[in-house]
Amino acid sequence: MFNFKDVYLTDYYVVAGPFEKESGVKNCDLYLEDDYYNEKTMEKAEAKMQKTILNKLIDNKTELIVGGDLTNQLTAFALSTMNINIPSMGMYSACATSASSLITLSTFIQSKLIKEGIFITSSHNLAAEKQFRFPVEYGAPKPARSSSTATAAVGIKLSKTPSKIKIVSATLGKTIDSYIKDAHNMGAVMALGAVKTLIEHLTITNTTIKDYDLILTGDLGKVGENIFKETLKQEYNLSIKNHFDAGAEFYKNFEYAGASGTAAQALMLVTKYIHQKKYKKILYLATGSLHSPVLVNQKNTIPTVTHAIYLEVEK
Amino acid sequence: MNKNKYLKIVKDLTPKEKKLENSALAFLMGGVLGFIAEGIKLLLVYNLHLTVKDATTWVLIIYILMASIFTALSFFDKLVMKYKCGLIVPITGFAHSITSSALDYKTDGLITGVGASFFKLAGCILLYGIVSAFFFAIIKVIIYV
Amino acid sequence: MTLVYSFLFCGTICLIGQIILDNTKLTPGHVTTIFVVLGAFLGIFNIYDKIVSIVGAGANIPIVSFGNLLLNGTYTGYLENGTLGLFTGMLAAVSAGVVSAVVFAFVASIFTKPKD
Repeated sequence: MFNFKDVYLTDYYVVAGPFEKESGVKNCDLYLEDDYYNEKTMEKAEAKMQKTILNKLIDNKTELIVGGDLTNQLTAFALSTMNINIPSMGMYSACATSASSLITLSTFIQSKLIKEGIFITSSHNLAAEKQFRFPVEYGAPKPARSSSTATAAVGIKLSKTPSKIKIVSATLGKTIDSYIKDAHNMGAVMALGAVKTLIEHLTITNTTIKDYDLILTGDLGKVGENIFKETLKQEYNLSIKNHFDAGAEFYKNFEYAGASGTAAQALMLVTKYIHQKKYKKILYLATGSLHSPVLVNQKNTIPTVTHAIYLEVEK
Repeated sequence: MNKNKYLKIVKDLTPKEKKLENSALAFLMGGVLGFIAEGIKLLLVYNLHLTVKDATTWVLIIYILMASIFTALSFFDKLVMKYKCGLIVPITGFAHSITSSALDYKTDGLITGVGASFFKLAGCILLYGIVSAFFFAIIKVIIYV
Repeated sequence: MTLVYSFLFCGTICLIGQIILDNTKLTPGHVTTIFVVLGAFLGIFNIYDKIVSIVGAGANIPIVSFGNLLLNGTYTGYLENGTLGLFTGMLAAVSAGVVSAVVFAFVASIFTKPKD
């Protein structure tokens, strides 16, 4: 069981794109004027978003950078961490990357291997569309259950120096078969993984749903969060009222299911939920859909994993 | 959890597509494009005295040009998302897929980007069109000659 | 009158495509490919040419027509050039469509980049 006593969230920095600003995503530190951030390509823009954050967060105590993004072979992470003269480790769990990275950093801090580290992630709508689906300007019909990758980047600093936000425990998820082959229905793919890890975390920590003020899932979207709640009810007889899904909350008046991408959930956590007085005990369930274009074209069912972190916020 | 049980929950909670609306919009846009095509053709034949064959070819070129320009101007994709097959099935779909691929991969270089991915989406049409036409023509030769 | 037929015919072809898209797991790529092959098939018995003569340009613009053109080019190639014609005639028939699509796409890509 992953228990932490000396790990605290001490700083963060958030960058978001123009569409996110238009859609009402608030309290970000920087909003881009366009998707290219004065770079020639979308991939370079994504790397620059990460680099901006690293420049703001890195100090002389930072010993390790852990993070990832959706670009092939973590290109954006590689470019952003190049030449910063600090050990960096790229990690990929799709949209569960935030949790797997934060758990890794927490473990290193708790084991006294490092004193301070930074988690960085980003997603970019244009780069992700080009890589996973179709060319950006191609109007392939999108079903209502689709989500849209957010253009956003988040950096979070963890340290052994006490602060108001404490990382308390974590559960690393097991990769399972979602039974879904449809890459448009990400919510359905991830909901099952979210259920599995939630139950595992509750079992391992010997807690119940009522022990948490907020259960925050990553990007199940409007469709996935309904499936998540219904599955909990039918399979485990659990009724869950203190739940929000970051992806579903991200874009207001959005005609599809919501936002997706590695940064959406972390963004909502640090810009919104940790500042709201009523949420002192937050269970952060980061949901990841482990698909690739190859996997989908070869007609496989899509594997999914969810990693959980429990934080306590002093208000 | 049991696979069939989960798939049932997913099916019940996944929103259905608005099929009637999609069909109506596709029919309408297809119809309008057909109407305009015939209109332009008649104009070219009666006013500019082109042959029917040449006029038809010009209509195709005009449609392809418009689709490419509108794709490059960044709004054709929104129209395609709305009218779907109404814009995909006519030759505008072919032009749109090639232009959008070219735009995306420009940043990866003229040879390794644009060149490599140019026919990414339209390749199917050329491949299967050519292969089927070849074998069907042989069949036609056997039947008629 | 051909104006009306063009409207109805092209609209119907698009409608059929949309129905396939909405009721099966097939993608737009599948639908357009099926339509091209269908066009080539309808050319075997000169059916599509007959449709074009009745309907007008409304039958020339769907991708079905592209398949028909490919077939006509190949067959006419045989009639004019024997077996060699099976190879030389095909792309000549669709040259306008392919050349214009390639050239316009390339030029457009020089001047713009993807937004959204």
